[in-house]
Amino acid sequence: MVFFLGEQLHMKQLHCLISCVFLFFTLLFPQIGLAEVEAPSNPSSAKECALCHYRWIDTFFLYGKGSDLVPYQADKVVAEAEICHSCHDGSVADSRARVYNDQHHPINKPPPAGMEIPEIFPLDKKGFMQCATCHTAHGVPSEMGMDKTIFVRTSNDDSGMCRQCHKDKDGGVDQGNHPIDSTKIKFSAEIRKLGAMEGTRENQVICESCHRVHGAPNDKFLIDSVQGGGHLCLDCHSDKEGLLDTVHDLRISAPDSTNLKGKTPAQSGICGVCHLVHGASEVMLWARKMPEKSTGHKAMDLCVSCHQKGGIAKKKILSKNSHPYNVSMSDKGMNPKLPVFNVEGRRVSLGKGILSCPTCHDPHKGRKIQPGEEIATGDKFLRLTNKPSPVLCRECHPAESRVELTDHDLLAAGSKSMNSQGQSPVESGTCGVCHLIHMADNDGLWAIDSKKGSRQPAEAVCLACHNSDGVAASKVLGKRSHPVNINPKKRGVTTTLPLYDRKGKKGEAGLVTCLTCHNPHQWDPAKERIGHYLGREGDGKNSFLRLKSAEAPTLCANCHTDQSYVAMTDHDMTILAPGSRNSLGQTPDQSGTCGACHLVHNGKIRVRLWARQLGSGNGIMDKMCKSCHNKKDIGVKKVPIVDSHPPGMLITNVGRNTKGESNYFPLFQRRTGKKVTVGDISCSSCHDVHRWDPKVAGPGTGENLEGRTTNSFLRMQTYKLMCIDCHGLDALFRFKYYHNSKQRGPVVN
Amino acid sequence: MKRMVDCSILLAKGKQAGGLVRNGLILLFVFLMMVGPVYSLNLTSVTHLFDIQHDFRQPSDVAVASDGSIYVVDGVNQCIKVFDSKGEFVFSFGEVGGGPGQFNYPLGMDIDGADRIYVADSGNHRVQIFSTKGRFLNEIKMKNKNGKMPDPTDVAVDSHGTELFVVDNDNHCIYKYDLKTLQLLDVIGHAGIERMEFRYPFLITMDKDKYLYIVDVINTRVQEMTNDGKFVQFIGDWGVEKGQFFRPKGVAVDSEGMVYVSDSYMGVVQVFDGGVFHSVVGDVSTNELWRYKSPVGLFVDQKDRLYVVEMFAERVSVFQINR
Repeated sequence: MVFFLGEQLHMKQLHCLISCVFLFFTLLFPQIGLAEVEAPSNPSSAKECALCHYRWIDTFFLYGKGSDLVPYQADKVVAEAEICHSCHDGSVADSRARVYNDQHHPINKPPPAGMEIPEIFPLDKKGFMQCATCHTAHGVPSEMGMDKTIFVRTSNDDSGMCRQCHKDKDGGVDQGNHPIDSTKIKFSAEIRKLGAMEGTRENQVICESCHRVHGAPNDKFLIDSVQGGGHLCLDCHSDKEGLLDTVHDLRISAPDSTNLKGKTPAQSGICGVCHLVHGASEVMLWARKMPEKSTGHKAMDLCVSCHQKGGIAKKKILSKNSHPYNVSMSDKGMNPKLPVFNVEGRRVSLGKGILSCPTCHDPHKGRKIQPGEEIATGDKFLRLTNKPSPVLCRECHPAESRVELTDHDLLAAGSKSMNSQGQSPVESGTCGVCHLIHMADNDGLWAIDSKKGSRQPAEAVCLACHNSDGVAASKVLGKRSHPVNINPKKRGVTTTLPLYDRKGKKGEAGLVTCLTCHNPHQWDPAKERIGHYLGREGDGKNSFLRLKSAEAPTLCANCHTDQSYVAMTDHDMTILAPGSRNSLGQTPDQSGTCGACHLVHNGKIRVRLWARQLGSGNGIMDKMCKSCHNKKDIGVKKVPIVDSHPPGMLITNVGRNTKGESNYFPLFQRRTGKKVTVGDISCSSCHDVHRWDPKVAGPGTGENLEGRTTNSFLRMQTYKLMCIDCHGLDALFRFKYYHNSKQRGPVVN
Repeated sequence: MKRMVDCSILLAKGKQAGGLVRNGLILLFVFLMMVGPVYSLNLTSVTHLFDIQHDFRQPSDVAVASDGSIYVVDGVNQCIKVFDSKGEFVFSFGEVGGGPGQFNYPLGMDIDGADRIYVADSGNHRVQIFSTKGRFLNEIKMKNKNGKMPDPTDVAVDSHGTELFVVDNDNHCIYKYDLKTLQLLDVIGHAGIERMEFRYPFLITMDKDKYLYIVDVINTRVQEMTNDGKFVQFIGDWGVEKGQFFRPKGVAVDSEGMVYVSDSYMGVVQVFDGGVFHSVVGDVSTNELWRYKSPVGLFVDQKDRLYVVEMFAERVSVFQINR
């Protein structure tokens, strides 16, 4: 229209007109003056460009005016939400739910103070973020293909774009942030359904794994809620679901408490109570105030931050004696499948870490509080169960866990006895009957009175039950038992069995106690696995013995080596008289070789704890021999016609009374059997009943041999010295005289 | 009703006058050109009756049954909401999902003479057919075209309910179905800028004479065609002047055959007569054209009431077209 008019005018008039038009134009529409309107960097009014670059439409850009339908458009609106929506409303692409809602990355706002925005992300002229800050309709050269192109300004692979601005959210746990790029946890179907994105690697955590910039219905653009039950966290960390509705669910137990950001459990969600996804402590992303005085172990400090005086868990604090912590289980040869931590609180491999609270306790796994139930503090949050089977303790103490389903398993036995904390076996579990993990009033962590019944704790703990009023009243020790609380070293006895000091500590030196021979955790020493042994009557093969005393006398031999040579000789009843029985009615197979003649507990005869009916004879030693060597018993074939040396001869063996010497010739007190230096000759003066051949330090051959004067259970000097000493060359005569009355004649000196 | 400035009158007067007078008149002309709002266009007079707002989330289309019941596609809420002729909410049907009666971001709808409701269930790549009570009657599952998933954005049905036309937005074509057999009869058009070519066809309507009007969004025009798929004419062009579109979205035809086209960015509804720009919907009492906030779906009912779905405003504005 303007040009049409111009053709009708002279040139002067035209110049005048143009000048006037420019003047009016400038005065009336200052908003389109050059100083006011930002010039397009690459303007094009071609339709394909102006489809988005609205102000480049000819009407605005060339003619500088509005139309009958719309006002003049001077400002750049290409990246404003309305322009984008005009295609993303379903008419070209449907982004209505995803983008155009109240849940999206902020626009029309400046970036947070202190945040550095890289130049590739332009802000508008007010310094505000707009769609165009992140998006450009011109695509990203680095990402080819419509399936990936979301018209962002740079590649967002692995959240690369997010990280360029949100640098404080990167860096993982070291920077107090949730790990990014980790692939440890498999993306669950639930979180995938919610739209969680993984990085370029399978299960790689990226920003969009939890956040969705457009359309996320939750605070912080999270794809799922973290409030209340902490659903988003649990979508991946489903192993932590056990926290819900337990006493560690602070919505229930401490609803008014706050985390480091001042949020209550209802606000932060059950996970946010203790962990912050961003801006947390570098240890476990901890969200609570750490204790003023560190335990020296940060993993433990986390627990103490609540379990301390004045803390929200002040009723459950560490006091008195507890299970050792800050110890290397690897150094102790243990190989548990339990987590260990370094001093910085990081979970590490077994060889590099030490035991801490979360080794045994899983704060995310507890007993659910039922509706209406009063909140109790008894839940232990054990990582593994200890009832009815001691699964947790077994991880480190597999040998001790073999106590399960034995008579020492009072839980399995159904006992209602109480430990020192007033807990029944049902409450304490199998191990807790005898051992305390926390709050023990003794450093041995005994759950039973370790001072009652004996001064030796290692004995007292047994007698606590094995007494006439105890749980094990049917297994009370009689007076005639193997001696305890003796120092084997002082008796010249060496042993590999455990000895115990006066505080009950186990070691290589110390005293013989019940626990020297017995392992209360294992019924059968040969079976290193859990079996069902409840209510069984034991014998020398089991009975919680550390080593078997039957069939071979392994246990007894550990201390009584010389005596163990009786095995496989004619004095080994398991061979000679397997059908015989000792005074407890046990066959040799049950009692073992030693038990056929000696009773370790509950014997009837004090001397040598003799297990058989005594025979006749002058002294106790001879009577013991004649238990068998009489005409009615198993030694009927070996009954001497004359079996006694004349008594009252005041024979002395001084110089020959050292055991082990080749001239050893013991004399015994008639009644007590104790060794004396002046007395009568008894069977055992000449015979070592435990050794067939004095020259052979070992068990027999198992063959029934006819003896000679060089063996036949005779002591070494029997031939060389003993007889000659008294009787010289006529020893044979004297021997026959003493052993066969028919050949007795007058003694000729 | 009309407020026009006739340039030829100005020009004639300019020739007769001389010198300063002539220049002054010319400057006055320029002034009037710039100052506005001086409309050199007609307004189609409408009277605003009421608005419907009912927790919509970016609604996209509307249709009206013979009894005046108003059906609104509330796609982000995955449902169809039904209102009486006064705009009072009656009921809704549908929920998110892929089963019968479930939706995945539906966009367009139409209604036949028997008041059967046809909904373009875009995300589920199908058209669902419902009774006026919202009971699921049937569905047409669309097939891929050249390996690409169909994206039905709108439907148009004849009053007898025999022919159904479905816009496939992503594949830039129109599908014609036989509603008795639910069989595909024809695929009309393909991507391009020429006749019977489309770039992102979106909403569609059919007039009483079975002429189809398809909003061709990126080609910024409406294409009119017969129900046999023969091109009739283009309506509108690229631009922001009268008779031009920046973002055409909805189309409707009134009882007199006037074609109403909404432009979601310019926020106006223009009226065309025989394919030629006629006017803009406005209010003669204020002599202003009606400004809408992202107008999308349109419908003109038997009483010549104009229904405008304003997606961004999340409402449906109802007007009486004045004759």
